Amino acid sequence: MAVRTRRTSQPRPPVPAPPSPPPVINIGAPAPPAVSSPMVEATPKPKPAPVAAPPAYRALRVYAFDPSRGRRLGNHMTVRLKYEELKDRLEGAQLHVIDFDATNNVHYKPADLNSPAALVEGGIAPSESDPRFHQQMVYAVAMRTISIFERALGRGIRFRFGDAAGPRSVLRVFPHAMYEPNAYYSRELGALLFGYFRASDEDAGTGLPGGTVFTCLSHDIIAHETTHAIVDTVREAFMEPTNSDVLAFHEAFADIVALFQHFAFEEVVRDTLQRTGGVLHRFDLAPRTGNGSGQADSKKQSFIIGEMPEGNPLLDLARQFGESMGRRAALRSALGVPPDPNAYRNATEAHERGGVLVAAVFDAFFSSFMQRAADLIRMARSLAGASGEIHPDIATRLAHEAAKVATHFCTMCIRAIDYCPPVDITFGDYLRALITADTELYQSESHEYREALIQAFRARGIVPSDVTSLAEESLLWQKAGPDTPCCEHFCYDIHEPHKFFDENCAALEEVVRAHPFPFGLCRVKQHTKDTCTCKVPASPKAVRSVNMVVRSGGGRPEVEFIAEILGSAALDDEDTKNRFRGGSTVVFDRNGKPKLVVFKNLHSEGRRKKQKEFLEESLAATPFANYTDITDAPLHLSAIHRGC
Amino acid sequence: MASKKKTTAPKIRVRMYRVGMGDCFLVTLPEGKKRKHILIDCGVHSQSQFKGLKEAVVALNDETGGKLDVVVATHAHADHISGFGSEDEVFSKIEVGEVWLPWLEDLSDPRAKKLHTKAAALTALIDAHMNKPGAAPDPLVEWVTLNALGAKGRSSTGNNAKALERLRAGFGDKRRTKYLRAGQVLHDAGGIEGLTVRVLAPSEDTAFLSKMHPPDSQLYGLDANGNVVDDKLEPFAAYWQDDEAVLDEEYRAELVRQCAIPLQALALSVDNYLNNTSLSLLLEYRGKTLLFPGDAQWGNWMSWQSDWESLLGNIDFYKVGHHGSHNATPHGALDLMKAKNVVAMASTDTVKSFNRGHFPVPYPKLVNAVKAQVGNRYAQSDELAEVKAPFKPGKDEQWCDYEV
Repeated sequence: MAVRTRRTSQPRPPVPAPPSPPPVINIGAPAPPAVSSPMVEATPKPKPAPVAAPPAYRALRVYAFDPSRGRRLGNHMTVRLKYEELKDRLEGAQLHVIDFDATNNVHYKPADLNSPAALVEGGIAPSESDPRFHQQMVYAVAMRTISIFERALGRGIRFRFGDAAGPRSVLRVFPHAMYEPNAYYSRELGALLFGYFRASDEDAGTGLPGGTVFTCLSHDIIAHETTHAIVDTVREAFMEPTNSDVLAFHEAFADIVALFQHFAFEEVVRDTLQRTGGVLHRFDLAPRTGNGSGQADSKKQSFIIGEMPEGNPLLDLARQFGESMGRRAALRSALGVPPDPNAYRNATEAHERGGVLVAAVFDAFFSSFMQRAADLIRMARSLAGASGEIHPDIATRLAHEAAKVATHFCTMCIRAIDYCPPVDITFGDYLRALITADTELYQSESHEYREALIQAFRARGIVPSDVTSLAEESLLWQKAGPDTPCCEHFCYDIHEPHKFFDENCAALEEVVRAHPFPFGLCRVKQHTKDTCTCKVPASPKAVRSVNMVVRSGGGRPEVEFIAEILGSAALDDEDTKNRFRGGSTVVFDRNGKPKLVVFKNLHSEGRRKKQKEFLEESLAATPFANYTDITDAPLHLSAIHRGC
Repeated sequence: MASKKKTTAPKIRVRMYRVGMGDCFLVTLPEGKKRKHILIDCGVHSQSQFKGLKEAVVALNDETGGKLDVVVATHAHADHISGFGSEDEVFSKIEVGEVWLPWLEDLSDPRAKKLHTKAAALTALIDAHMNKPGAAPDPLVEWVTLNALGAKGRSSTGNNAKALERLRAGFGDKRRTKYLRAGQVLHDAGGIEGLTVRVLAPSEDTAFLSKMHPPDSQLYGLDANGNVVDDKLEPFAAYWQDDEAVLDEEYRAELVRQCAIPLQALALSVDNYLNNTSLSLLLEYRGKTLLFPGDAQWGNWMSWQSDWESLLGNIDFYKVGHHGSHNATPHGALDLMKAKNVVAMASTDTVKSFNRGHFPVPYPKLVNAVKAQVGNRYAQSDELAEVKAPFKPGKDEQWCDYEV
């Protein structure tokens, strides 16, 4: 029947009549009766009280951007977090929001997110003057960021801090820590500290001149700082500036994660798409009244706000913060300048250099989106009205596509962290990690993302120093050699990923100590206690972490182990303060057979020399030093963010 | 053209007065039978151990007969200008030809004015915090603040303000004051025939300016004029305060410590800003070249980095920047000073009033690096007893001469 009724433009050749379908009796067998068989007699013991299953989600309201966008389209949004029980005063399993103001030395009243009102209404309504909403927002956005990482990495995030009070796996969050235009992650405190400050009197952008600005109400800033904390947990040595890319990478990566979140705000994405004719990456949005072209026209004079072009909110990072500092613009933007093959080489300052990486990743993202959505965009253009706006239905479809590609990219970028060397990362290493991580999961599919990334990195001069070509195969990290020993004693429990963490670390530690060479810790292949002078000190342990992950790409989900192995030596015989680190990141399969080893050899003289040169150079350029001893200066994010 | 009897030709003389932690250089040029005098800086830090400025000013007044052709103030730090304020007796009577200041001190320039206001406001904030009852003493912050203000108290009443007023007023005639910017080349500068002065810094380049911006004081609770608006910003109504404490005492103390206003960082940033406003001058006279970079720090040096190669190879005299601190003579620049017989002089005083930790002044590694470059042709103002040829110590080791 169906075949005959379909209209085709060409005459069809005669087809043999289809065999009649077998008579279908039951379409979808009815479910077995829910009631248990009457054979089972009710036992006399008392009926257990019915226990309601815990809810699946907790809904909380937040700003999609920050308060400066007010109630503009999509700025009030609801985040749905996986439900977790919250103790009093906003204490969860991973986060503890403590509203202590160190400048004023006061606590503010805590939000009770378990109150019926909060549960029914999606928490407290967005408000700048109610500290409880601020607490709710930092909790919600930070948890959302953590869950994005957990999904991408295929494992739970467990923080590891320690202070006088003992080890702690909860990240503390202080939404109003201090009176300062700054927000940062502090490893010593195991905390995120958000500041508040008075906006510039002369030039506060769209904000109130002299008004109070809260960094904890900026979605971007919360996501950025939370990312710092997570990266520090996953790769502890990335806080040590051993080359000019390390600090820049920390900053850039946090920006990348924060910016990709924008594309999940569907309403805003749809609006942007409509007003740019599908070109997501355009800086200015046409005014809502339209000017007939679908593009912002800078020459045309506007007399009312509705006619003025607006900035594209998707590309801006922390707009309110930037404007309040009198910068007239967002803190940073995803795409600033056209690609320049010298960009990477010429940028020296950490934010500037990081900006090159952010631009490369977003270039690849926008290019991939344009490619994947080319058909929709063509349709949109042919259906576009006189105002240049595209059809709302197509805008919706495009928004879905953008969100999907953004999720893919964000996941890719995060997953690559597991494939980065444990120390001394460069942007080139990151590109290799991106390509390897994605290829491991999707061997034959989605080449276009990888291709777009390689092109975008190359266009900005970011190329790994240790490869012979930029072909995908040569960018892949090398497979583990046959000499790399197995670690046969890994255990795992799929429901409790951290259960065997310590045992697995200990098991691998034994293997690494017996065979340090294949893990980048020894100079000599045949390492024995007698023939080799290399020493791996008993403490701290060389194996910093072994994390069980569950990956599901093209095939069925697989269990793998990612191990972080680090050793250190004095940077210089004369210089006892600075350490030179090396080691490897190893990916093991579920049986403990090594798949990949990513090296930063502890005995690489070239790398050691480079690190010394870098320290000397960077000290020369900072206000701290020129002829100083190379001081052991761990990364202080507070100082970087302060920018002074 | 230079005379063939080179050996008897009168020479350029650089006289470094021993003032303590500060700079006071007198450059004397022979012009026929007359001598022309250029005074480059005249100041000492109020916390300097050795205090020889008063004597130095009297001596230089005698030496010059009360007539200076040019007065240069490289930047507005007490250790470079205090004398112009404190030594009234001499400077109110002295005859001055021209006054040279960096363009960043020109208050009629809106950009300069804006930066000036910002730095002043920030200094006031730091000063207010330091003088609050119960504030923990911080010698480093105090040192920096005193240098920027010239005295305790607000910027409008300090000695620096007085000195700057005299300098801006051109010692009685405003028309004498010239504000210099990078790229300017002055021929027959200061009315001295044959003297060419190249201004290397401060640049007007916006990139350079943005690198030396002091942070916005307003963000820490001051208005545009530097008055404390509200020392504390209380973000919420009292109603929201909660009595229950959650944190243990140790953690809380550490948190409070980390969250305190970063006074040291702010103070150092203002200090670096002022140092970077330094007028860097290259004096060329009868084939000899002298470099006076004031207290220029990295940003200032960097702004003329492209000229390093062409200029630094020829200099015959280098006034060591910033009293021989660790951060005011870039490696790359020092390495280029390769002319035969190049001489370096540093005016400094061993600072003991506070422990600069890794960074004592003068910085031994820097001193060694300079010595490695110039051999024994290095003189330091606090070690005048030890100077040997080619330097000539003056009366009672009050100064030391070098003839180029």
